[in-house]
Amino acid sequence: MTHELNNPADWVDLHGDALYRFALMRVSGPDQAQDLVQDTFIAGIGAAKRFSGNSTERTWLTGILKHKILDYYRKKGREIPESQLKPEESSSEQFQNHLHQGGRQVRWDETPDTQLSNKELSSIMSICIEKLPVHVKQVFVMREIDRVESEEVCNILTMTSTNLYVVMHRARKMLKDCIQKSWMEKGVSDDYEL
Amino acid sequence: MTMNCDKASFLMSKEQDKPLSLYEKTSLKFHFIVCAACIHTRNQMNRIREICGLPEMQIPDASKLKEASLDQECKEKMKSKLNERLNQGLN
Repeated sequence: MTHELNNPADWVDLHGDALYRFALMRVSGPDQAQDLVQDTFIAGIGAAKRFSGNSTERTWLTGILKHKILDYYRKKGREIPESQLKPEESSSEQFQNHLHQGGRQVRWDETPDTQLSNKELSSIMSICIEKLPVHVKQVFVMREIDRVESEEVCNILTMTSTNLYVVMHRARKMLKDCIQKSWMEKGVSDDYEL
Repeated sequence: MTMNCDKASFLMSKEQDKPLSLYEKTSLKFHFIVCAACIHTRNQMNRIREICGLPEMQIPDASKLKEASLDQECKEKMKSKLNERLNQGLN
């Protein structure tokens, strides 16, 4: 099926909010997100001739936005405050406690109804990602949702590979704990606990 | 080759971002022999990656973000910029 582009004048109403949400998840504030959406539309006008019709207009514009977001980080050449990179002092101790004495382990990682739990887990995951500290969130989303290679993430964000491992470890630990907690609060733990 | 759980957890996370060295892999394997909790942690980390790769995750829809939208003023500004650009193209 071949897709066609609408009049660019209608893009704001058709895709503005969706693209804005996409950007908001990946940059630090609404102003940057708005600018990126604006830039995406402008770039879209220029690139419209090259639109092949293989994807929908929304997907095509989202692709342009992704490039704009990566460019934004490249230009910003941003530095991550040291405080964001150091593992928390007591994390090792807390982690051990959590693992070995921290009450029930709920098996959100293995559930009988994969279809349902995937849908539910992805919405829990979104909420948990949103709760990450902003720098951790940016690194994590770029790496895991946008699937940018580790080396590329380091280049874009001008961070060392060691910093990347530390930040990603922190993100995964926090997500693990957050999902565990949300999963239990949803009251489904009894069904799924093994 | 003794390793505590935090170090093991760091390596399990690192494994997702870069292939581990032989030494790292072996230490991890030895740790798994004595620590079932860390095997569980590894499953959870794999699952996080899996969930993040789901099509539903392409545009994260956290409840807060679901309601986020461009305000009308901003939309009008964008539209006028787009129209400006479109008219430039015609001339």
